[in-house]
Amino acid sequence: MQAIRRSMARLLVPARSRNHYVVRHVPSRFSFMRMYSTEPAESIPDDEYILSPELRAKAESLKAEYDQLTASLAEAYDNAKMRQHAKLEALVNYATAYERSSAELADLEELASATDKDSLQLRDEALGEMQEIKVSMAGLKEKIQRLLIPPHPFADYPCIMEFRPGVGGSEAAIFTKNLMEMYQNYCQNMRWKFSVLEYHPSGDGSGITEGILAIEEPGAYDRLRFEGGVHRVQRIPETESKGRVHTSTAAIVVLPQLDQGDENSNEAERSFAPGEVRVDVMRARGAGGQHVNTTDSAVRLTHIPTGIVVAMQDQRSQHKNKARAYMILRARLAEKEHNEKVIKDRQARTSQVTTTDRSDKLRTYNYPQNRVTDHRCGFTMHDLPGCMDGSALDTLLDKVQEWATNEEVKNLQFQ
Amino acid sequence: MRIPPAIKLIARKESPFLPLLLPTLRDLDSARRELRWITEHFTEKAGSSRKDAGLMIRRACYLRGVKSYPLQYILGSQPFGESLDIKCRRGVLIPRWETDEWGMKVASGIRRYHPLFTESKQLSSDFTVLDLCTGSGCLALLFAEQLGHSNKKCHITGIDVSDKAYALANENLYANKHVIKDNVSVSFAQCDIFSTEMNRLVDSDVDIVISNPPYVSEDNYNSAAHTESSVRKYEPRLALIGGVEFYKRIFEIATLRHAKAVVCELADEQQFNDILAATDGILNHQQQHKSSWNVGAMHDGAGVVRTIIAWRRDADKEWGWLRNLVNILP
Repeated sequence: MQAIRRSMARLLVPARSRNHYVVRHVPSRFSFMRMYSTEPAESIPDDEYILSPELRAKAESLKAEYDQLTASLAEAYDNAKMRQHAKLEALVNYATAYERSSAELADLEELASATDKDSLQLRDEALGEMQEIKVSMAGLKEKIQRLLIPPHPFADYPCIMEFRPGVGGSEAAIFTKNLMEMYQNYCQNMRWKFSVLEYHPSGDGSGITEGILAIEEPGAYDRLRFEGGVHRVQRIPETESKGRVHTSTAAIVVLPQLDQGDENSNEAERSFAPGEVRVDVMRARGAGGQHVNTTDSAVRLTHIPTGIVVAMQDQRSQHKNKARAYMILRARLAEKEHNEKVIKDRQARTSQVTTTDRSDKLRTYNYPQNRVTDHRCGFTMHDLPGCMDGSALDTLLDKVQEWATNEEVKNLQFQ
Repeated sequence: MRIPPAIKLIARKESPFLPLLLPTLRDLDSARRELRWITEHFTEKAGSSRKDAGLMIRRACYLRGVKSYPLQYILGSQPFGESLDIKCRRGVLIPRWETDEWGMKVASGIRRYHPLFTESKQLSSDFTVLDLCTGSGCLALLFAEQLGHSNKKCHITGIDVSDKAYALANENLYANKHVIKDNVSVSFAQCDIFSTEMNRLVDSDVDIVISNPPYVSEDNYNSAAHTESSVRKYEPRLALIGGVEFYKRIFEIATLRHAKAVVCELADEQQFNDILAATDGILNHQQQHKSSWNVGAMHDGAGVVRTIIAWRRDADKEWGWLRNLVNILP
């Protein structure tokens, strides 16, 4: 059977991708992805429509505040109160609708649980209606969540990803290259425009010591910002002669891209105070000028207040190098500022919560077991080739996003 | 200096072309970078024919690495300024990054601080630039690009003695037409700046004179420690060997045309002092006289004295901002 299926597929799949066929399809049968059927769903899973208790409590308290505001506004007009009132209005409307639907659902459930013969007809109808209500509640839940959880300030921006090897020598450099290719594949699958800003091969050319990827898609930062951190690989390296499994790491930094594909260096420069950034060209010493003809156009920027250093040398034009260096510098500064704010906010809270954006060793890629595990959400996927060629990465990102939203919801009660 | 065999081995494993580039470029990183530029250029040029591209790349790498032929002559161009692409050909000096750097500083300074550009009320006079010894036309075109960011009417004239340079400068003007805005007009002329014809050619006043004249001394030209062998072998002597007499003539022309400012590239601090001594009669920079000049020198990004900057004392209102660029005073 397997053989027939394979040979048939071979007829369908273009010759170029034939080799990938087995790798691509078999693992998905073993992966732990939840598969939704395309038939009318029997039931919507609970977490799709039920609002978490934390969010519900928060919505309740805001509703109380809204009622208070309504009462006080009836007595006297106040501009600030009016504004707050208007801000809460949408949320309160959704929350009320949600409460109403949830009460209706409870009534229907009672009907549906009836067992006597006469109400069988009624039961079927109730079940159908419950389905509809659940769908509308799922929509309401989405809206309430969006109103309660503030979006990330850089959510709509394109992003920059930086790749650097961690521990593990040349194997780490190779893995860093693999990771960079994984995200390039992912962008290709998503049809996102991207460009390689910096590509620094390691000594023997098999891996990279540094790579920078600019992804031009607006909103890419929101999708990929949880990818920043330490990625771990467990496999038998190509360089290993005795067949032992090694563990190596690579670090990824994800930054919002603030000047969106803008390579006009003058504009980027102007946003810094004079003297804030030192520009060095890194040329060999000597007479220079007409005496020497160099193709080296490396530019190094040093942000004096923070000590951040950015160097760029990939382009032949020194102004393009400079413009790109400024782009990365601005992104790093924005990220740093944002992180500092997040830490400050968190310290103000009573409880320390695990950070959502960066933690130690956030993911493991285990080659012998064909497994990818995300340590934050505990999600395991047995489709490593699919992950590395970018086609299955989306599932993983969904899970991480879900986990991050849950974390945010948990954090809400401390605010 | 011999290249370590280990590096040669890595290069050979990575690409058959990489070892060809090593003798000139010495290290793997720059060899990889240039190989990438060469490959990109010739794959595009060869189009669909992969065999042709391979041959062209091999030949280019051989010329570049074994013969130390300038990359800009191989690829035919050098990026300059914000988005200019300056064509390069044998017989004309290749634009240097130092020129790019100071040209950018001065041109963007004019746009930001010169009253003709900053003052809102429309002053009637246009802004004029004279570029002497323009070569490929890179400086003139850089100013045209930068001043084009304003609405002010500007006229830029580039002059060179060489007919090859004159032809190439005109080609560059044509090739970069799309970068230059309508408010700027650029023209080139062929003329020896030492001849009397010069006085007839430029017969109206100019605001600023800029120049990258030949400034390599005969001694430095012949010493391998100062001048790269590839520069000596492939770039024109005419554009390289020169000295104080050029600066003297440039300041003469500037005075004759009532220029308010002069910026010229030079070799080093020694030359700056030599120029000061030779032009004292023209500039009177030591006197506090109204018609005398303020003079200073500016470093390049590598910390070498690279430009002489001079502006008339009575034009301090328009050109005083140049003081911020100056690193060294006489």
